[in-house]
Amino acid sequence: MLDHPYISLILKYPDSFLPDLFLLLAIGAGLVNYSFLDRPSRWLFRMLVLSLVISLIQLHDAAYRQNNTYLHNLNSLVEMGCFAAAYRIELKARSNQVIVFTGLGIYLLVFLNDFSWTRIAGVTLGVERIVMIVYALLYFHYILARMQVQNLLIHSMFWVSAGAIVHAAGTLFVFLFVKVTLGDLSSNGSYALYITIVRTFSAFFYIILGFSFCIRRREFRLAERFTV
Amino acid sequence: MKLYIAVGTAVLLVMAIFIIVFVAYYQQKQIRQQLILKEWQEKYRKGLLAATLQAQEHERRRIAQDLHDEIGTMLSVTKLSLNQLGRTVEHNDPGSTVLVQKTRSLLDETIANVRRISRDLVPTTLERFGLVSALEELAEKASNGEVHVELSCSDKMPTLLPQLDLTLFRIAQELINNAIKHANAENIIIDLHCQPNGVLLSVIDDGRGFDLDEILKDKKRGLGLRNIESRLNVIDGHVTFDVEEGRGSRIHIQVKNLKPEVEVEVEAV
Repeated sequence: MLDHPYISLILKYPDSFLPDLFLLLAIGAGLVNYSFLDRPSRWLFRMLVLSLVISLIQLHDAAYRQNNTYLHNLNSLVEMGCFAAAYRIELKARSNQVIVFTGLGIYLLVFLNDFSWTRIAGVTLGVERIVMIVYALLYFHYILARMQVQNLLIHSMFWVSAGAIVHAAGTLFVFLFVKVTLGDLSSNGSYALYITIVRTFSAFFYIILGFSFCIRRREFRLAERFTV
Repeated sequence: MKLYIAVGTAVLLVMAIFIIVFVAYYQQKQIRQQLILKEWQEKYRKGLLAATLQAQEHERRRIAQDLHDEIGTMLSVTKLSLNQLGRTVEHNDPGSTVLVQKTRSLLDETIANVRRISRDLVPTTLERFGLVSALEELAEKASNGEVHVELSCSDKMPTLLPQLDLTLFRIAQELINNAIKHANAENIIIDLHCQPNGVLLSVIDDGRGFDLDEILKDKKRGLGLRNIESRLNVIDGHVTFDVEEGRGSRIHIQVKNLKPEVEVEVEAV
């Protein structure tokens, strides 16, 4: 029983399941509050579901010692697509939408150029993080210019943007200099440290997304109370 | 290289956190400022509304005074001259006596009308004897063969601020007028009751009612109802329309008997 590939993977790398645990929690929060989610939040929920599917395939490949690095790259594509969709809906001004599409376009160009089946496409992931930071900053500018949100602390998209900017800032250099950080797989190399950093920030981002889904319910109720 | 990555990541993280905190703080500050500005605008609007209502009352008073002092006096003098003329005509031209009598009765009617208009313009009963007496008088005046207006009120009414008295009186006047003129009501009840810290005035009629949304949507109609809302706005009052087409209407006015922010000067006659 203990020598089953899945069990031995869990026993060997228990820390690597931390982001998956929070991913599951975030999906649970999304499911519980699904009827209250607006269109941007639903795109983020879809992103989490797709990330979970990719993560499960990754775990399967890891358990059976097959190549799974390309799945990191695919996950980045899913994240970027869903993120762009969410911000395109949330940022209603035309100029902002142009920036969102430009960001996505640049990312796609880099993705097509940098994609590899056998290695983590560091530049692609780095560009993804830069575009995420741009989207978050754009959103901050948008809410400061419009002043339509009464209480920012119970506004779900603010938390999503805050989570995204922290997640992107924390992992940007890890992926931009992927050869230095995740390239050295030797036992005394830095791979373990940097992959832990990446996992920690991913877990943090999933927590924030789950929290934003819960906040969305409160926001919805509040809006309902004011419109009745 | 690894040191640069660590430092770069730390710097980016600090910047990200700083941006988040700054956005949250700045947005809250802006919202607070916006609220203060809104409060100021509301205060200014109320002041403007109060000044308009005050000017309206001044103008009514001036017209009433002019009617009473000038036109009324002139008409009285005219009546005296007509009486003198009547006596002369009776001796010299008895045929014209009927014409003089007709003119005299027309003049009497005009004098009575001028007095009525002058009294309607300024609610002297309200100023001298208070809201209950003024509403009693209003009910009595509005009642005729077809319309029956009844006043029901608490035994002990608190003394209200003059501004509240005037507002409630004008609103009652408007609502009764609407019930008779537009709703063809036959029975109207004015209900005045005191509540803790305030007064509740209800005007209930058995007329044909109206569609409130439709009337408020139409800018040409519903001026009276909008006036009621404006008057109540100045004294932080509240109006509830319980109306529907074909079943009469119940309109409830709730006001607090507290010192309001904006005071309207009410002159004694």
